[in-house]
Amino acid sequence: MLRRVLLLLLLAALAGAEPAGAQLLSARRMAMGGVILAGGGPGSDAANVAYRGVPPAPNSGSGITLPIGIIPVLSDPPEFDPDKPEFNIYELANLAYNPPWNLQLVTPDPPANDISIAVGKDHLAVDLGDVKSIFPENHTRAGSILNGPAPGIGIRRFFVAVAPLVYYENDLSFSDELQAAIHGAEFTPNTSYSMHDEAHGIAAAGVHLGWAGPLVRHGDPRHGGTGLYAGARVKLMRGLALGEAENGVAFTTADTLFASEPVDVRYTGHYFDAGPDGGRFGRGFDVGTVWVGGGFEVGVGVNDLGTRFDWRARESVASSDTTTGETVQQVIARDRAYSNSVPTTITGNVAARLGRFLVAADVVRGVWATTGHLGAETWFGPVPLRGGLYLDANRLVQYTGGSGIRIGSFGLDLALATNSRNLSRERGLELGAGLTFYR
Amino acid sequence: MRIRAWILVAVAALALAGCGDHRLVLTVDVLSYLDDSQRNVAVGALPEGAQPGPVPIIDDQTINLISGMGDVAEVQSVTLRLEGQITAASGSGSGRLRLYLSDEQTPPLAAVPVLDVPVQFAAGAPDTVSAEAACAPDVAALFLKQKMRMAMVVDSGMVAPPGATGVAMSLQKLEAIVVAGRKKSL
Repeated sequence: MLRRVLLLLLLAALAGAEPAGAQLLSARRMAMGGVILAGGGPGSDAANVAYRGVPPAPNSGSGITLPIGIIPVLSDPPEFDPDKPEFNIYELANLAYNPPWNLQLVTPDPPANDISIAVGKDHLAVDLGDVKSIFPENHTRAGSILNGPAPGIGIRRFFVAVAPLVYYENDLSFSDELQAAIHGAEFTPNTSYSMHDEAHGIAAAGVHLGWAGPLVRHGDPRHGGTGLYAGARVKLMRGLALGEAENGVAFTTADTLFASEPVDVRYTGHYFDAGPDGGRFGRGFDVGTVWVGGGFEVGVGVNDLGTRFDWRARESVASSDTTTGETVQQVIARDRAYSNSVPTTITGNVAARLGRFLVAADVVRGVWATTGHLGAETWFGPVPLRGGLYLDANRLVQYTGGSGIRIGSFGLDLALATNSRNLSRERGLELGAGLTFYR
Repeated sequence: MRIRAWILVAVAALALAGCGDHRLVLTVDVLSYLDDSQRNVAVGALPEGAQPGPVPIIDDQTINLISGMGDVAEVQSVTLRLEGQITAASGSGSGRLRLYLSDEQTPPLAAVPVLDVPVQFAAGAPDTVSAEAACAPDVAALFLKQKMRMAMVVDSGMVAPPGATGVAMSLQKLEAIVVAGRKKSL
């Protein structure tokens, strides 16, 4: 039971510090606030399939990022053994949020205060100090859909690509009474305390079949003309892994907190899980459109329209044994026919060339959260100057900037960006680096 | 006789699983477990001379604590603090106030006293008792169990002639400050 509740609380903390945007594997995009780049830059066609058909913008290209964050992790690896005094769950959680790709220049210190608990026969109060900042103050929903790189081939305007899809979502809530108690209020007699969590996660891989191209075009949209582009792709996938869990923990205090009878803690759980053997057919549909003209660019992409997966899943339930207090888990069905869906994501973006500046912005309605990004870029000869900001899923504004150098068709880019991808949602700073191969 | 506050225990476990010098400071208000008649004990009249045995102040009292805390934390130290007053209507005397703590299965008076302080009483001159002591590791570990037992007596009493009347003991504070760290095998 303890480990289950501990896991739930860790989930609460992790969900509360929802990654607020994963690390970006493009230093240029990272420096520009994570905005979807104009003209088919990194991240464009994953968010808006129409970008597969849009002619590339000047100074755009493809590139790779450099895993400069791996160096400090290799030189001072974290301690994974909980028996060692150096073991630090905050450090491990933050490493999970920030895979050692970008270099973390400023990392918030983990909470280091003592925890105080005051106990009397009819009195119980907890003071977590700074530690309570890791628990969300409100009902917390977090999630993300990661459409992986889609390498493929194109024939005329049609394309075939292979791509993975990872989707996770977590919806966690404390009762008001428990929320208050964790944040310092006293536990009180005759009060119900409860915590509820729903988690969904799937991994799948499949084939994208699609078309992207101009619907209307007058001249060269990149040089005085205009063009309206559209794209659509069908995702035909197979599920590789499924995990769904609904957990609840509740207890009600008696007339006296530490009375003669134990408080009955009720734990309930309902799970579906499947591996590759249980994966069945998955299908989905993405559409998008982009208008380009006069130095402007406007796009709307809608992903995962009706995306749905079928499974043959194992179904389990868990509950607390009223006699022993231990959790009992029982498989109630194997190969249970089960279906789940992936939420629709909508991305709107605009970009404009204003004199020497490229300015771009986007708004993404994702899983439970709407995020926004704004970025700008200008060039001084071979040296770009970039800046941006974005509103992350924790409703915090983050700031970015960067530069680089271009030599012929080869470029080196550096980016600095703040983020709050850590348990306490404090601001950190990271450095990204990448190589660009210009068209 | 316990509260299975798993959420509380898990919160503590999660917090303690941070950097190595996090500490859990558990303050147990032992006095709150006593009712008025146990906090204010009327011993009554005592004959002159050496008392034949311990005078009970608190009989075997169960203290219910947080179940499961011992699964996540290891006691580093426990400090006991006691404040009280002993009065008499007439006469005077002395003795030793002894506090016993034991686990759920052991009668507390069978254990070694964790507090052993001299007390005196005299009519018209209330004696304030104030004591603070660190507990041995085995006693300290009791505070992370779901329950323990407690007793308090005045022992080795010696009453001056012609004896004392109206002897009473009142307790104003009895608390334990438990400092614990992360249990390594969590």
